[in-house]
Amino acid sequence: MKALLAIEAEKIVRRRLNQIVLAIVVVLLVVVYVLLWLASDALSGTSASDQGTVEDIRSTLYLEETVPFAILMLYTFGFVGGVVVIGSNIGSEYTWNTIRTLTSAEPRRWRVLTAKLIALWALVVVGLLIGLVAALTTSAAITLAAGRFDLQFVDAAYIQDSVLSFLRTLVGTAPYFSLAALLGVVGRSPTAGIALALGVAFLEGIVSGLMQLAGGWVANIPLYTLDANADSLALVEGGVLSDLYGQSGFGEAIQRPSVEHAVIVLLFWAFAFISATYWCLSRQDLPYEG
Amino acid sequence: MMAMNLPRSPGSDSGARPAVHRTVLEIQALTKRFGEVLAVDAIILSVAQGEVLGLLGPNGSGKSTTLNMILGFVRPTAGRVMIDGHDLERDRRQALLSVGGLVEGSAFYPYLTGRRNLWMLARIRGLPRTSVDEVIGLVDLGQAADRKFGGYSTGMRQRLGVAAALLHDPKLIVLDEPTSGLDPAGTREMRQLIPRIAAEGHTVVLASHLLVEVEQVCQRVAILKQGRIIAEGRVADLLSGDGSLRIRIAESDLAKAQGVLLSKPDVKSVTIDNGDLVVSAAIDGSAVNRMLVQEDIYASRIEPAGRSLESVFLELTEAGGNP
Repeated sequence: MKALLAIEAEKIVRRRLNQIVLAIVVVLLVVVYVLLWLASDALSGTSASDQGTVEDIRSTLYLEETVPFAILMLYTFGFVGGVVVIGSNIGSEYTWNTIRTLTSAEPRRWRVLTAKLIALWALVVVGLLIGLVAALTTSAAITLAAGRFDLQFVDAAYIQDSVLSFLRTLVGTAPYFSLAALLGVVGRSPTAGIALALGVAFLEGIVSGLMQLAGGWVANIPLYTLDANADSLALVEGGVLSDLYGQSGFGEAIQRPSVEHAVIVLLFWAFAFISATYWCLSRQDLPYEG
Repeated sequence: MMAMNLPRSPGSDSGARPAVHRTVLEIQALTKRFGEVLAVDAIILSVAQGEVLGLLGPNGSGKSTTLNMILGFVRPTAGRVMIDGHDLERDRRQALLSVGGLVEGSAFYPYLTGRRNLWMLARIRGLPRTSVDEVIGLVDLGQAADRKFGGYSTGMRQRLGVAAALLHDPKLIVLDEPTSGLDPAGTREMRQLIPRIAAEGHTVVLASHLLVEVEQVCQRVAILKQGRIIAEGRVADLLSGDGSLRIRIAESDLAKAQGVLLSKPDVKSVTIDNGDLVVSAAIDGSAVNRMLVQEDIYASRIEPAGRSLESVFLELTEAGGNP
């Protein structure tokens, strides 16, 4: 297993696509910060805008209050980046036929998959951390530029909240990453893993909204699927920009489950998707993909 | 190429040609069905240690599916594959560790060098780094080993695939079109390499559309059609023909010789093929020669009218009806 893990890690690090996705996530985070700062700066003091909201946005960009905002951005960009990386790295093993080479060298397929999932999960966690660091660094620069740089707010509670926020991000995105892995194996291509997982993520919100509008027992179904629960965790972060998150086009019609409920449901789905991935790979024929 | 011995994994005992030729590959009633399509239909086959078996068949005959089942990529619907005494279904890991192969094309990471790709496989198998250098030398990959696989030509990809198949010194080596994409020199080297691998005690199953290649390299062939083995045997036996004689004489004497021989009661038929007489007779070559000499006709060559593998293959596979 040690050799398999080392090999998977090397493949991930050397693959250009992974480097590019990570760079894009980091750049997008920085760009969002800079754009919001410039926009709020331009709007500040003008009569044409709601100055309260503008001031709230500016506060969100400052280091003291930026963690929830950074987490929300990671939820979006990190989620897409993670799905792309996982779907691509697993699906490519089929399009390159390297799944055959790998399972020739290690006939126990579960070991191959375990090493791959651990390595990819580590990459996603590291990627999200790098994204968080990039967001905090940009925030620090903005705070410094605004002449409000001060680290006195950093205490145990602040660190604990930040860590919990990060863990909630991992739990909220885990089922989608697991789904990307499953669909990469079932669909035998990166496209299947990425497109279907993203498709589920975006379409489920719409379907969930319609179900809740339908009322009756149908309205309770979304409480046990991904979208409402993932949104529930994202909305814990609060802040002015969280209003932009989790609307699913249906605004207040969506009923939100509790955080505890959301964590249990999301972990259940992540476990179910991963188990299905192991089962599929163990039973799957691996003919040469031309 | 072929400047080095095959790499040896720790504990390997296949360095010398074995005295007893035990069965390394045994296939019993192997069947594969893809939905309604019966790709492989209860084939039975066994291959002894040190033997090179050629697997022939037209496109869609089930060759690749059979090889994929031997390599564990495709699960049989029914039947059994035993590799070096290990049941592929019940003792999957041991069975698959005893086989290496290249079927339908090589598969490596395009963003890594050939050497790095092989080194990864060596690490998974617990082999030393030197094993990689040895197989790279064996398939004559040379400087290309340090270039990214994505930039390889077809021939280089094929060489790397063969290197990967040989890397762990498996008892059974399965090769599908191993000379595909190789230049003439590479093709010749590969055709020399395969018998040498077998001479060192490895068993080789070779699928190829190049019948000349199979004729040169294999001791035994199995011909598949519609998922079933329709002929199997030693190459020499398949090519031995029906006892007919091929006689070369001057072109001006052909018609006269044909008439002379057809008038003899022991001669069943005489045909002209490519400027030669092909004689089917109940007597041997010297008796036929005597008949011709008595009529002042002199043969420059008399030999058994053996068949080419191509003619045998086409005769068997183009025959109408199901096998």
